[in-house]
Amino acid sequence: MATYGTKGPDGGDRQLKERDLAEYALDYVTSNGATYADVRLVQTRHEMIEYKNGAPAGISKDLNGGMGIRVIVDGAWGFAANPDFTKDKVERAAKRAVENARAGALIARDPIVMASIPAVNEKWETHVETDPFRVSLEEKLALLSTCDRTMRKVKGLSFAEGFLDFVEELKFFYSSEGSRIEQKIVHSGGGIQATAIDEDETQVRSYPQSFGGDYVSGGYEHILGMNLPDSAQKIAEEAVGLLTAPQCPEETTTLILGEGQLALQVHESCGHPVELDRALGWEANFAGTSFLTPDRLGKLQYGSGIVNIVSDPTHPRGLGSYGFDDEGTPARRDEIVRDGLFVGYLMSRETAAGLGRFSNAAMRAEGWSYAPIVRMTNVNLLPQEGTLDDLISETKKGLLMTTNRSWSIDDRRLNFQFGCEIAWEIRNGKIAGFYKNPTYTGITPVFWNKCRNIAGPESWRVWGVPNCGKGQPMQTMRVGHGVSYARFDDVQVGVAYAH
Amino acid sequence: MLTKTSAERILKETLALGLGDGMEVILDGDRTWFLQFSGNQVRQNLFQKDYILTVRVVVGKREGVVTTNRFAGEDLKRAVEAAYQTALQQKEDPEMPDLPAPTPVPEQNPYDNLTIESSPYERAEMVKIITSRCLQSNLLACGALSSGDRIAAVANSKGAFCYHSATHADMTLTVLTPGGASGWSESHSWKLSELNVDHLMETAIEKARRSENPVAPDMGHHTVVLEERAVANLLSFLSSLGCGALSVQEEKSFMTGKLGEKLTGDKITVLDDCERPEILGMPFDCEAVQRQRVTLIEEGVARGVVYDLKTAKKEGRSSTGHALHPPRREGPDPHNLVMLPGTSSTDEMVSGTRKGILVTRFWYDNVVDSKKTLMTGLSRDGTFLIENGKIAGAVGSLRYNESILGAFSRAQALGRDLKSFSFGTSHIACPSMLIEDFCFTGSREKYQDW
Repeated sequence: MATYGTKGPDGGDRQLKERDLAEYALDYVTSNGATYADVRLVQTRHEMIEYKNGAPAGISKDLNGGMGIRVIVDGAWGFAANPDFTKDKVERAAKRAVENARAGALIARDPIVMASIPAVNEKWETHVETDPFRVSLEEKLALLSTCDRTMRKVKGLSFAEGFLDFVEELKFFYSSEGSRIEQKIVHSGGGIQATAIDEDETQVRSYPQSFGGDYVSGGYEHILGMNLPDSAQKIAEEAVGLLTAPQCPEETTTLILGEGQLALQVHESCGHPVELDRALGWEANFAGTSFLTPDRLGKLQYGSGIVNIVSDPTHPRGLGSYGFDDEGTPARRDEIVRDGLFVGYLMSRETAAGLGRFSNAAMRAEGWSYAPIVRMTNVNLLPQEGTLDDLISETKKGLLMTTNRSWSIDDRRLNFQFGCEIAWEIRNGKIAGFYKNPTYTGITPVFWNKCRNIAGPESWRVWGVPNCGKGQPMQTMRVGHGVSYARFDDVQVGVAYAH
Repeated sequence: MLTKTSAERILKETLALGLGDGMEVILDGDRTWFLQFSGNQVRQNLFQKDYILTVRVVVGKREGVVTTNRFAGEDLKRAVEAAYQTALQQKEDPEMPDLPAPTPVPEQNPYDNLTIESSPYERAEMVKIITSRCLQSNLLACGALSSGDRIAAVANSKGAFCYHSATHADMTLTVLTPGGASGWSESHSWKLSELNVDHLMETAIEKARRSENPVAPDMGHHTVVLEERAVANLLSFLSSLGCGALSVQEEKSFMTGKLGEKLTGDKITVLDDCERPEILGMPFDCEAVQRQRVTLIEEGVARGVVYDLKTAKKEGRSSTGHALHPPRREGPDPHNLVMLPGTSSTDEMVSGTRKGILVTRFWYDNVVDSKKTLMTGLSRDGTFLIENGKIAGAVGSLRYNESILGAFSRAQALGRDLKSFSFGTSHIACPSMLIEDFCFTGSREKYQDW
């Protein structure tokens, strides 16, 4: 059980009691008809700090814990979540899980089959150099204050903001197949944002990416490593400069993407459509389906020959990194797109069995109160060769976009449109200026088949996306995307403002 | 459910710990039964329950906030102590308002015991009506049935205490044809018995069948008939783009400097009103202040925004009762939006349209430019060509890029009936709408050759 403040996990009697109750729940459901069951104990502590125009705008701390019980009874799934750690409440929840499954079996047609996994008794934890919960609030505020002062020195700036966000999740997994897994996952994120406003528009520049900054699995060393103060003046000047910058033209041109924007492009146009539950139509009522249907597996040229995409929850720093997913499947790297060919999905045990494959550990739940669903891990676009400078120097005319402002894609993940904070104009192999309000649009496989260059490992890193929504009931998941920079031909830009 | 008595006891126990110069405590949460199905079978059938205690400790003009779902005994003491310690490390905020004194708030608890007492078997039978029908018709039913209750209670160290409870029942349904065409329908009420399963099912089936063989129209400006769900999405984003006082004070809002000016056409009147029968929302906010009825747009003219205590203090006025949970960085926000109805029916709008497009709902809407209220998104699950007053075929998923205020300025007719929707704990009730020159910029159906 985590504690408030800087003490860290306290271990001790309560944790033992809660584990005993998890075993009790497992015994109860298997004695009452469950042919499979798993119980997850999840306890999360969360610290969020927001700084705005010279003062903390919000400091909040959260502690949350509970138990999720998932069963198969009569060939159907049932689930119940329980925040109360007393024997009678746990038994009531276990009973509800069994009852829900039995009721669902009234409708179920095909019995559930799950790909096999080994039963394990393991521990895993995020590599953390500096525990973010042991860094004082004073130090964190001092960092944001330094950035704030620097940004607000820039004339014309309306708002300077900074964000820090830390999560520690203790997870215990128990299955009727004998697995007992303990994980401690730590996420650290942060960033800064400069906003300039005039009568007609609002312009924002962020570092290192928008909507709260960049997140990784790791500790406070990530925050220090971003060197936030070093970029404060630059983004403030750019935000002010955007107010008077020319509007991004409407045209078809060469587009170089990188950093958080390329990560989001991978997220929306590759990560989601390769979720096998979507491809099977299981999410049709909310998140949607996928153009990457099973009949296209191994056949569809998703991208050009240099496009290689993998799922890799084993990456040490990715926001989608872990030792085991929420079905107890060991994390493993798996191919999604090989030399442009669509070759793999993100899979759970159940969805994988339908394809005659094994799970690649992509089944996760938000906290304890949701049943796991297929989620992204770290879905990474592998690097090729060269640098961003090489991509720019080889471009006669084009745009460079790196920081997202807006995103939207259809329910089959084909028609996308993104907006970015700034577009750098490339002319004759050099950066020649910048445009405001850039947008670009495309059709996923058309776009990826026009990927002409991908930069090398020097600029490759995993970016965090902390707000991926999916599922009914809706769950928010933290995932990662490794990218460098990539160049695409014939991209339609500027369409959002053209009409 | 946490009853009023139980909630009051927990909040009083928290306040009795008495750290700092004042405290505000919020207890809210829900119990939900959720049955998700696709391919005519159940994928998840779950029960969720959680209650969250939010503790805000005030020390002078500083505050600390902690939230937790563990609030018994030592856990409660630790939560309050952590909030207190956080407050001590904050800077003084000279604009921080005082905690409000208690004022009577009328109770509004739309609570249906039968909804809560329904069994998982009864709910499964409701879904089975749909899956059986679709199975017989060679269609696939995908959807979700959820029902449950939620409570919210707020108290402060000056003696304020408010409590609200409500039940909810929601069903959404997508029907897929063998060719992959889809149709959508939904039904919401605070009583499970009032969900109209038959109507919902037939609507989704009809839309799915009509959605087959889509042909994309030319991109550009089209007359559109937006069904209520599509209007609700636009209205929800419009609200978030500037109907709260903080966004106006920070000059981020489309309302900034525009109060009293014409923003949309005469047909558009938008209120925030928790007492509307279509909504019956929580009658107080997270500062224990009674929600007021606020006119945001009246016959196209910007009339007002919603306030919490801090933004109201800045302008020397009273809160309208729209505070969110602390630390309230985003300021106040409308919670119970109502667009007043017009005089047409959706069918009349279609029959009166020579050439246009009927939109069932939008998906993945997002803000392109906040001050211009420029949005993008896509139609989904039932987008149809209208020719000579009749549905002439399907057009598939269309991408729009459109200013909400611009679209509402070109509204030619509004539906006479309001439909209500839930967006988390917020509610929207709105009519369908006929709009001229709505801008579509893209379609996946134009790229069949990829």
